[in-house]
Formats: sequence, C-alpha cells, structure tokens
Amino acid sequence: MKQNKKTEDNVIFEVKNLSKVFGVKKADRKKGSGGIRAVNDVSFAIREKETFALVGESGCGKSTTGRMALRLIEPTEGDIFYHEKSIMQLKSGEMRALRKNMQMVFQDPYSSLNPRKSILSIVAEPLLIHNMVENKKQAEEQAKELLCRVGIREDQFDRYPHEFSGGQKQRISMARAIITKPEIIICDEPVSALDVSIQAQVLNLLRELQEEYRVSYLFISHDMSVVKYISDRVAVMYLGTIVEEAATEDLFANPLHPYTQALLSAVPEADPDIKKERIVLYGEIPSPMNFPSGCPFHTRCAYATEHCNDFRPARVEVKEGHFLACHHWERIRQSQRKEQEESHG
Amino acid sequence: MKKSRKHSDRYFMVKSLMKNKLLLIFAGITLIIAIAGILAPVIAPCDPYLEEPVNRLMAPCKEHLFGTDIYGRDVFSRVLYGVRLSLLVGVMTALISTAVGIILGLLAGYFRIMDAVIMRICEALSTIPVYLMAITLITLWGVSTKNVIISMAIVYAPLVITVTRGVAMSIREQTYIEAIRAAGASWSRIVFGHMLPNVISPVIVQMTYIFASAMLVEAALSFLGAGIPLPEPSLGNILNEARNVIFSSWWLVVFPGLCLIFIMLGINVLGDAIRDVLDPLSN
Amino acid sequence: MENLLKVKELKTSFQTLRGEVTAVDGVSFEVKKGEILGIVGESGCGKSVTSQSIMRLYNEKELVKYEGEVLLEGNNLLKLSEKEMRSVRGNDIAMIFQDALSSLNPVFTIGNQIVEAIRLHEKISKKEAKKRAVELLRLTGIPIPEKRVDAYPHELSGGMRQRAMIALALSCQPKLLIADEPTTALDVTIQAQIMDLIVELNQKMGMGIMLITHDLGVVAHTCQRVIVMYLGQIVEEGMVDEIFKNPSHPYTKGLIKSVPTTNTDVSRKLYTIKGVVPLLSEAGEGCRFCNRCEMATEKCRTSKPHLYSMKNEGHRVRCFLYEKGGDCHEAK
Repeated sequence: MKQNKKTEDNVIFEVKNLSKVFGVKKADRKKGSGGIRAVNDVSFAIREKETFALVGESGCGKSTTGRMALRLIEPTEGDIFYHEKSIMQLKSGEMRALRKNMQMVFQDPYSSLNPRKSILSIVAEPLLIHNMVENKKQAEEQAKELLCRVGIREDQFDRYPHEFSGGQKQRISMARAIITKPEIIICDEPVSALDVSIQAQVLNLLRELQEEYRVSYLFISHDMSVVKYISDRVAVMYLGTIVEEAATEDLFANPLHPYTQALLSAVPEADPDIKKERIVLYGEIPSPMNFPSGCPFHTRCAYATEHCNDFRPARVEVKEGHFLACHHWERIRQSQRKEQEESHG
Repeated sequence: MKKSRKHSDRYFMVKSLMKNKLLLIFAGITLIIAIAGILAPVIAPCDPYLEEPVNRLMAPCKEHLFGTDIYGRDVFSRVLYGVRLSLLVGVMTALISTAVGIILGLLAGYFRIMDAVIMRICEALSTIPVYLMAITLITLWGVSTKNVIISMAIVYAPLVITVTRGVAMSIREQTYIEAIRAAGASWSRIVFGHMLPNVISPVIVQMTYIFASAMLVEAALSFLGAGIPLPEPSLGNILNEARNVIFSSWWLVVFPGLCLIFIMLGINVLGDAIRDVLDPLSN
Repeated sequence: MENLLKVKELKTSFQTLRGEVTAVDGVSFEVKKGEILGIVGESGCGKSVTSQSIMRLYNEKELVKYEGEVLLEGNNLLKLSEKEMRSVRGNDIAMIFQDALSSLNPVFTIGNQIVEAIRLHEKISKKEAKKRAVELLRLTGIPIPEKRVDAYPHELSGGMRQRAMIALALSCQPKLLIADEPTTALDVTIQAQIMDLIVELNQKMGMGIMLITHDLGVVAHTCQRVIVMYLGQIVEEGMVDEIFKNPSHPYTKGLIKSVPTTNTDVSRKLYTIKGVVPLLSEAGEGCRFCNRCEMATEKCRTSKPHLYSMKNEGHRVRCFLYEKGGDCHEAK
C-alpha cells in the first residue's frame, strides 16, 4: 500500500519557520521576551497523498502546530504555503473558503460533535457552508453515501452523537472532514481516545480513505507504534521544535537524535518478546515558560556539553530526507557503535 | 431489556417525574388556574368592571363565588381577569427578556470585545434593586401595561445575559465549535446555528424563574400603584384595593393571594422538572 | 505462593434509570503475595468496577448491590461494617488512580496529606509522621523531598504528582496496592519511569499489586499474571507469556493482533475485531463475545461457556473451543 514517494516531489502544503508565543502582547513579541513559547521555528512540507506524522509528548507543541497550519490559531511568526501560495495574508473570508481544502479531525470524539445536531446534519453541513451543493437535500444525499462508506448503519442517520460509541463518533468526524474532498486533513490524535480494538478499525479506515480520496494527512500523535504503522514520514517534536525528521522506516530503524532514541526505547510494546535496552530520561520536560537556552533538550540529554547549553543546533540533512537538530550526532553514533561492538564482542 | 434502546434518557426522566405526586398536584392546580385565567372572557360570570353599589362587600355566596369588592364588583370575575393579565405580563416579560438576553449573551460569550461592554452594562444594571429600577422606569415612561412589561424586561434581561454568556463561553471552548470553524463556518453560523441550540435548555429554566418573579413584581408594583393602571384588574390591583378592608372582608385578600401563591409554586416546581427533562445528565 | 486476596464469584450490580445493570458478573480470581496481577480490557469491561468493589467505594445505600466474596487474607470484606472497612482502606489496601491532580486535595500540601494518612492509622507524632513522609517521597524518587513535602499538588508536574500519590498510597504499608490506570494520563517517557517505580516498589516492599489498564504494552512488561475481561466477565487468565504467546480466547487473540507494535507489518491492514462492544443490557443468552467472534457457533449463542482450564497450570479460558481440553473450573 505504501508507495515510494522519493521521485515525485509534489509538495502541496508547507510551513516555514512557524512560531507561537502565547500570553504576550503584540508590542513585545520578540524572541525571548517571555511568554509561553509553544512552538519554536518549525518547518515541514507535506506531499500529495502522504501521511506526515508529528510525534512528541504532551506540551511539545504538536497540536498547536496542527491548529496553526489551518490558522485556527494565528502564528506569531512564520509562513504557511498551500500549493506554493502563502495563506498568511488571506482575509478571514478567503481563509474560510480555503478551509474546504483543509479539514481537521480531533482527538476527543465526545466533544467534537455538536450534541444537539443529528449526525446527518453534522456531516452535511460543510457542503452547505461552502455552497458545494444546490440544496440541503443534495447535501444530505452525499452525507448519507459517505456515512454508509465509513460504516454507519442507515437507520442511525437521524440519531444524535451521544447515541454512538467513541469509534463510531470518530468515523462520523472522518466523514465530516472528507465530505468536501479536501487535499489535506489534519488528524489531531484521532485514535488516542479509543479502545484498542476500535483503534485498529479507525486506522484502517484512515488508510482506505486516503487511497480513495487521494488525501494527505498531517497525523499528530504521541503513540509511536501507531505512527510507525500509519505514516510515511515522521517529525519528532520536543519542546516546540522538530528535533528529527525522516522517512518512517529510516527513523525507527536508525534514530539519531538522543531524544528520539529515548522515546523509542520507552514505548511499551504489546509483545513481551520485544526486549529493549531502555534509555532512561532523567528529569522532566522543562516548562515552555522558561525556555532553555541553546538546544532545548540539553537539560535531559546524556551527551550534552557546554556547547549545547549556549547554541541552538541547526537543522541539518544528515542523509537524504533525514533531518536532525543535534550538535553531537556523529559523536553519539560513534560511541553507541563502540558500545554495541563491546557488548557483542 | 431490549426495549431500553428504543427510548431516550429523556423518556425515562419523564417517566420518573410522573411518579412524583407532589409535582403532579402542583402542576395540576397551576394548570387549572392558568386555563381558567386564559378563558376568563368565557368563564367569568360577571363583567369585571360592572359596579353594583348595592352589593358592596358581599361575602362569598352562590352568585358571587369569591364575594364582591368595595364597589360591588364580582371578585371571582376580577380574579380570573387578574390571573389572565398577570400571566400575560409574566409571559411577555419572560419572552422579551429571554430573546434580548440570549442574543446579547451569545455575542458576549463569543466575542471577547463585546463581552467587556455588555457585561459592564449588565453589572451596572443589576446593582440597582429590582423594584427601584422598575418604579423609576415606569415613572419615567408613564403607567401602562406595555411600560410595565418593557421595564421588567429590562430588569430581567441581565439575568438571562449572564446565564447565556456563561454557558456560551464554555461551549465556545468545546471541540465541536472548533471543528465547525475548521470546516470554514462564519461567525453567524457558529453563534446562531451551533451555540444557540446548546444554550436553550439552561435559559428555559431561567425563563420559568423570570416568569414567576415577574408576576410577583407586577403584583407588588400594582399594589404600590406603579403597575397596571386601575381599574383594570390584576392580582396586585385587587389586593391594593382591598387593603383598607382586609380585616372585615377577608375574601378580597385570600382568593387573589392564594391564586398568586399557587401559580408561583407551580411554576417553580415546573421549572425544576423542565430542567430535569431537558438535561437528564445533570441529575 | 500464598494468596493475599481471593475474590469469589463477585457480582456488582447498579440500579439505574433503565433498570438493574450487572457491571461485574461472577468474577473470581486471586492475587498472591508479592505478585503483580494485570487486569486488562476495554472501557466498560468492568475492570475498574471490580477494583472499586473490592474497596467498596460505591454508595451502598441506594445504588449498588454486591454479591459473592472478597477475601483479604481470609477476611470477607463485603461482610465488614463501614467503620471496619474504613480501616481496611488505606491500611491494608491502597489505591492509586489515573488522575493524580483530582485525587489529591488541592488545598493541602503533599506532606500534610501523607501525614494525615499516616496518623489516621497509626498513633505517632506529627513530627515523626512528617519525617516518614519525606522518606516516602524519597522512596518514590522525588528529588529534594525535604522541599517538595511542602508543595501543593498543582505545583508539581504530572509525573511528580503521580509519584506523590504513590507515596500517599504507600504511607501505611498496604498489603495490596490497586493501581487503576496509573500511567494513562502520562507521557511515554514518564510512564516508563512510573512503571519502573511500581515494579521496584513491588520487589522492595513485597506487596501484591493489582494493575488495571487498557494498555497491553504496559501489561506485557510489568505483570506476572494477566486477567482479560470482557463485558463484566473474565474471558482468559494466565501467565504473561502464556497470554501473549499463546492467547486462546478469540477476544484475547484479536486484542493482541489489533494493537500495532513497531514490529507490525505496515504494508498490511491491521487486524480488527468486528463490531463494537455491546451495552451490558444487550448481552444475550450465550457467550458475551459471540456477536463479534469469528469462531462462534450456534452453541455460543444459546449457552454460556464456563472458564475451562488449559494444559498449563493457571491458564483458564472462557470459550467452548476448549471445553473438551480441560475440565470445567466452575462447579455449577
């Protein structure tokens, strides 16, 4: 199912140097002038029919990034491109019209559907908002078709959200997002509130819809196993910055940033056979309110030096398509290789 | 067991309310009084304005169920018309203040800038005691039924605004509002299409309260002479006219008073029941 | 190993608007001294109700009815008076919850709450109790415990709060610790720290732990024995390796297959269990899983399977597929 997309490089969506500082007045929104630095200089591009994942722990800014991509939250700095055109300058009306091409699916299936509307009208509404149909009846026809497609029974169309289970609600949310045939859907932790057996159903549905509608996903998640399964490329976020970005296979086989390594080693796998050398991270994520100087990870990094303390590592391409923000990755890799050899020998 | 799926939670709530005898009794009495009031022109045995000086201050008897007043008018008919007018004032006040309150409350709850302006005005208004405010407005505009309703609507609108705004602010933070915004909806669709249906049920509960207390305030205003102009019968007017003869003619006070008490109780009990039915989960 | 807790045919039913609902239906298991027992299942399977029933945390006057026996070292907890039960809670059995912020009282410092808990069950001075509190915080890996003891819950991060709650739970050296989704609200790196701590405490203090979770990954790496629940019943029970390598109940099999691991083949579709978990009130006559089961036969729809013992000791499965393999475990 997965295709090699190295050759075709049709980027449809791109963010450049996106930053968000909360709680500071417009006048003094300069770098380092206090406030909560939720997202710090984030750039990535999403190609056609690709799943691009943003992973990280809570508070790392991945959800804020997702919302900024749709301008649901206004970025403090940076630019967003849709088909190579900046959307930052668009007026609110133009932005609204553009949203039919960019939709969103939210984490909490319980609060993301209006409890006072039938699911049919919820799914049909985006068509009416964007005048994509002539009348309400037509919108409902299309909504019915799509609801059937995502696996909701016909006799349930007039029911209200609270009569559905979490997984069904998430299917309804998917239908609402895809009904305008968008080019990109931002999925903010779409399966993390679901039970394990339901999670698999929704993940399969996401993939099937991608095939049918040729849609790209920006998939935001904290669950490494899910990300491994669903995405083509992954960016790991820590404290508002992307520390490593690579093709999924590459990242999981060959993580280079010490944070990615620790994160991967901490994932509890539902298989007692997978025995991992756990890299224990001491301490906790620093508060974004007093953002550390230099490399954001240096307070918890086992390899940190003075240099990391003072200078922010630049984003470098260490291998084709594999980006990294670490001063010492080469040194780290060498020392890890040596350790491995020693333990084997 | 299978049956349970077909019915909503609301159905079960109504069913359990039906078992509440006290509720049913009060609701029944209130309903009878209200219907009698609404049908006053049909039911009333006499013209409420017809003065028969010969029959002044007659105790209740066959011809005059509730007796007659100092001008010899039939108290039963006057009470019926009084209930009718009081209900009208209550309903109109509740409707107007709710309509105004919901719109302003939603706007305040959605737009932060409007919030500051609207809420400051509301706070200022609510510092003035209800009666003082109503009397002032009526004195300014002159005594008439219309002015009584309008001034009371102004007094009660801040109540609805505050409730609506509170609910609206919590709804604004819900993901489904963000979801519809992400789908490209305009603010008017968000506010009136999605937030409005969600604020209705708490506001309806508030409305029953306004309905009841507006009737009470109207009675008090009429009693003080600042309400419905005489000789039109309202429950307050009847009491007002009776105040000099309270000790000799008890029926002038007891019957309109009882009506008022029962309507108050009934509406309050009903308001609670409505809340339970509309929001089964809050219980 | 000796049994610490023995639950026999526990049945918990609630009175709701729609009539009686039996959330836990005939659950029997035991926790041995010093072992970590995992209870897994999806939401609504009754795993939390089971633990709350053991602690008798529901308002018994109106809503809930318990049947069966909960024996803590031979002492039936369901027969105790409310007053006797209070001394069991916290003293013999302690509990930690998913949401540490709402389980700690926001207006008292961490230290205050631990001191109060200690002094509730033991007669020692405040000063001594506070000393003990600092020790407990140190034990749970909170840095600079002398200082943190005077912190309020909101001043601590999520992971620290969870540690503080564990310290509070350990304050009276309970024989049994019930951990209800202790790491669900935490990040993976913090989750790993907390699970390590729980295992370490288990080894150090030798208490029995009941770990209730929906996360198969957590179970795979911390528990010795596992119970899988579905719709208020135990469907499978066995040692961890047994459950993960040789899952026998179709539900357990499906559950394990549907969770992606980093070893999962990404080119294939994920295995899914069809349908959704039905409502308790919709459970039919037969096996509760029959509507979602690929192996279901007519028999499954009409009669109830018991827990059957498998070849390996302690491995029990509630499925007719294994009816002949072992002898019926429940004498009914």
